[in-house]
Amino acid sequence: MSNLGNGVRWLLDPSNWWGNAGLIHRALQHLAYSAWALLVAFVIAFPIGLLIGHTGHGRFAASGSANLLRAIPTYGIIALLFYWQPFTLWPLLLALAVLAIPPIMLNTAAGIANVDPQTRDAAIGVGLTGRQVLTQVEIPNALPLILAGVRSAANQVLATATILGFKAQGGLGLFIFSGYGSQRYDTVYGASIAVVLVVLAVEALFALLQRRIVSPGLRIGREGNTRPRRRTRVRLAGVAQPSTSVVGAGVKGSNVER
Amino acid sequence: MLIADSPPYWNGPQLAGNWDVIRYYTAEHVRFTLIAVVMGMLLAFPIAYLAHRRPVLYPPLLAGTNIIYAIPSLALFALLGPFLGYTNDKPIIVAMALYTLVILVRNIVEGLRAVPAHVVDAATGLGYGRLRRFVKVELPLAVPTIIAGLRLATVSTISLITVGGAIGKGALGRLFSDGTDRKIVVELWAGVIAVIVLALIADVIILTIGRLLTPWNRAVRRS
Repeated sequence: MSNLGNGVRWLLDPSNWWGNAGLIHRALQHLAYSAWALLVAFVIAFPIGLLIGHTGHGRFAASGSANLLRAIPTYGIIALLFYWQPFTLWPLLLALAVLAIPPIMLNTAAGIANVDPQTRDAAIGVGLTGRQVLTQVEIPNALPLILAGVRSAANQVLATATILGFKAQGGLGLFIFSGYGSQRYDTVYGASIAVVLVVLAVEALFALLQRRIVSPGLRIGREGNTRPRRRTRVRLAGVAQPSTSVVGAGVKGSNVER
Repeated sequence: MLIADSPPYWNGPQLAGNWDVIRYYTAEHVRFTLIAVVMGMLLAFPIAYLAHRRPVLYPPLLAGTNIIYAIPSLALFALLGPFLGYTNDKPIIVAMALYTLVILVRNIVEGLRAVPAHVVDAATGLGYGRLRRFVKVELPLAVPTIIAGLRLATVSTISLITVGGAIGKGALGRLFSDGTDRKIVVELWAGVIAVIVLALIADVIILTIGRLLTPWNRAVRRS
């Protein structure tokens, strides 16, 4: 356990903070790479999720392909891609993006499909076109679940982005891999604590974001909320729900994911 | 299944003649996964039961599982080393079990919460005690959500175990580290495909178990 104490000491030592090999630079790198991976995943997963949720088609194929993506071992993909493109960054970003696709896709689809049919009918009734229904009614209503999906994806990507230290690419994982190799456990533990802190900070940010941009009428699961539980649930395996993990409110439902 | 006593070694750049290597590490992978997931379930149930009975404790417990999940695996292996030893498989198995908690605890609690209040009341009215009601009524109704969590946890454990390859453990992950070191691309492919196939088979098995455990769900769907 003294190792852990040394890790804390290493983390708190300002001489490890600054410079191109410092903690702050590496933490920002960690965040930036994760953000890129998340963005790539979002650009792919969000439209597919919208399409599935809006049309109701391909739900089975979606959860099947999500399962397939989840089964792909991140380390294996990196090893394979490195075989062709050694010591470059993009294989790592790609492997991280693969990780982020299932939660974003499934949650977007479930969020859209979960919109109250009466609300949707009313929107069509007042003359909104299909596209308007999607952008003005379905997406705002699905926002809590979509955000939960992105948050869950961000969580997974940030926690896994440690592999960016593999073959010295960057991020906080660099300290961990090099520390592990040279048996300097104070850097391993110190950098690991930093990773946990980064994950928690981003979680908190998402919780704030959820409060800011989700319509007040949609805040579900808060204490004292008397809204009845939905009887019908979309059966998509492994849909992330707004989590209560750090701050914020949870939603009741099945098929939850981290 | 015949398993060699010492880990077999990948010979040459081709697949032929190396099936015993794949078989050996697949068997190890199955063993690691089984122990880790069962251990995860055994840990998750009491935690989830507590979180369900004392809702105040749910957010902090969930945050705890989240923090564990955020700990990089290399650090977690190193952290567990002093307690479990450095040269055996225990650190990696226990680390995987701890990682499953982030999914399992939440799914068990959400499953229990989704049991309609009137059902619980009816059971109480029929004279069910707290424990008997939990085991006979609440738990079976929470099975679909628990199974969904178990599927996720198992699939992600199967793919996550491979990171142990970086420290010379990790079952099929060994094919990744060895294939990288010796530049044998067939070995890498064999490892990736074996992991994916294993994960999908495990997923289908758990899905089937879930369906067998909840005959009432199938009956409803048929009518």
